[in-house]
Amino acid sequence: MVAVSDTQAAALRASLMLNADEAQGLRVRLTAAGELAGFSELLYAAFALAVRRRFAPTWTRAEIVRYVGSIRTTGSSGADLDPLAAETQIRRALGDEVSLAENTEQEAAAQAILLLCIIADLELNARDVDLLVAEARKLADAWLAAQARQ
Amino acid sequence: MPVTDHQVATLRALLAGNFDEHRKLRAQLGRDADRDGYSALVAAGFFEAADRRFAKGHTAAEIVEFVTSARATTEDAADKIDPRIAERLIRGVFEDEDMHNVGGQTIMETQLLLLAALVSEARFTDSELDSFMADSRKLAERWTS
Repeated sequence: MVAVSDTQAAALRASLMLNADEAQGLRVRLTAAGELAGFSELLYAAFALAVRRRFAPTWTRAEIVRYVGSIRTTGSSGADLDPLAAETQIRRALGDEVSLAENTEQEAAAQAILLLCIIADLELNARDVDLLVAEARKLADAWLAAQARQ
Repeated sequence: MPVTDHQVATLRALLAGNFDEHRKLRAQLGRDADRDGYSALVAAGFFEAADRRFAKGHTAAEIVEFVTSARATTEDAADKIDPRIAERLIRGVFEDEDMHNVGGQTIMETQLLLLAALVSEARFTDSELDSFMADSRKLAERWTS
């Protein structure tokens, strides 16, 4: 059964701490070892947890539209962020029933950009990031276990 | 092709927030030529309003900010305005923007929604709105002549 590995968790942590070289090195190691299974679940779990911390329990569509707009006008990755893909990802993580965009690459890219922006907004320190990664790992493992049972 | 008083009244009612009046007049628009004339008026109005609003500066950030604000007004606006198309339409007022991959109906609907947002932001008095409609009419007639 697939479960999130220590290396995958370390790669996520390095990304969230903006240690780009370390994150890249770990991803290369994961790719070379063929150990990517479960990594996207881990990334999505971290994303969903971060979104819920940032927007839940009460949120409005307008808030999400404005948030994505603000990233696009002020963030360094703003120009790369597809607004509809970003809004869809946030709404989905909040439990809103939205159909996914046709371009999964755009959605994945939006998720990656949003995750870093939200982490910055939440002003998480190293310990907070450790806790988030641990929580995301538990969540991802639960999803993977559920998938294995189907 | 001259723009008709009916077409002007239809658009003016929408921009003045008289939605019942607008719906009634819109339903009375004839087919084809009448609707084409109305579309031309909407496009001209959008062009005129965007030109006025962004004449002093139309950076990517300024355009994104405006479209974001327009989409955040209602849930409906967020659904109906595709931000990328809206931003391209505004940019297209100032530079060449290839819209061939966007359907005519989508362009018209987006222009109308943006026009409404631009006019709402401008807070025209009645006479300013009349003057704006007159300028838009002239522009539409120039385009279609």
